[in-house]
Amino acid sequence: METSKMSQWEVRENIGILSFHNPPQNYLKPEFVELTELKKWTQENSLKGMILTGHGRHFCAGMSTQKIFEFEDAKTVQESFRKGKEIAEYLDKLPIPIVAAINGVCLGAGLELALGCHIRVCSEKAVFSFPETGWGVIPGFNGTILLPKKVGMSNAIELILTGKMLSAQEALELKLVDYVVKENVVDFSCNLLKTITADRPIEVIHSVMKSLYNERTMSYEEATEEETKMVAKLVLEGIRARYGRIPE
Amino acid sequence: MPAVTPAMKEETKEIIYNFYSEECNVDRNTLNENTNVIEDIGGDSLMFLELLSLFKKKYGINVEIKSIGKYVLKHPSATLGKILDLTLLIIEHGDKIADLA
Repeated sequence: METSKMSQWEVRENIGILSFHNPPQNYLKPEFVELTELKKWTQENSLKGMILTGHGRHFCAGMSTQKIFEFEDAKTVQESFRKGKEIAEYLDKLPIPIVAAINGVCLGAGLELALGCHIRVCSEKAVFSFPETGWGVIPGFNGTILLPKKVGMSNAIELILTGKMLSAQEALELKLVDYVVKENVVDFSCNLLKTITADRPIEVIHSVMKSLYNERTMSYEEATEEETKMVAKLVLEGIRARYGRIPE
Repeated sequence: MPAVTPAMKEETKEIIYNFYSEECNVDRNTLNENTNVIEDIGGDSLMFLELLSLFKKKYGINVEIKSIGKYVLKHPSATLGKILDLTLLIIEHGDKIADLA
């Protein structure tokens, strides 16, 4: 088990587990982990997937309102959020599937980070909310960008502006989460990742995830060109593996 | 919002006690209205939000976290007795509990 700032890292059978660790509420600040540490942990080439979760009872209660209003000027706020977004972007770019395993309460910045994951799993008693507008701010950790993509614009507007709480079942109905489970969310997520990646080679997993990332971030022409390059590389590697050489 | 009846109060109390007993791994029979959730049974303040979601569908509760926070700031709800009172107030008044603070 390794630690950095408000986070812990462990690897279980080729699945990396990054946990928010600021118990009991797991309040976060945007730079919840040292990016250089996170890079070191995740660059282990045998990783086939990753889980983002909360240590203890809760996933994350978001940023503490006390911390939010401790910022002294706009520049410091921007710097802090930019650092946080660099971490979120790094996670988004990782070429492995990432599951948010949500236990208990998932609010504000915690929910924003969960939205950045590829799959969301939650416990039956999980609770979700964006309380920011009630405090006179907005979900500024990519929340306004990511939420409409998951639940649609009208639901996103309502959830953000009212700050209303959602139960696990309501979150499932809105497609905010993909699974509501009775069992331990980390165990379920680990098994899910193992099932998804099963006997798939690391190169294939990386190519799938990179191409899906390209689909979101590149033009159609660029993304399809990159996809072609990737499939060509994998085909050649497959032939080489089968015949020991590229046939004439 | 429904008016709270004695039967509703009793049912709510049972749900609350069973929730904390199960979540904190303590014997239901050891709990009483003076049990402090944090100091006596190792719970935390956010558990109340999980508890509330159990009543949300049943009573159509719609309440903002900020409203709960505003009320609790003036009326700390650390014991099971106080948590029952707060839950009943939310069932009865919804988001208007902020006005009762």
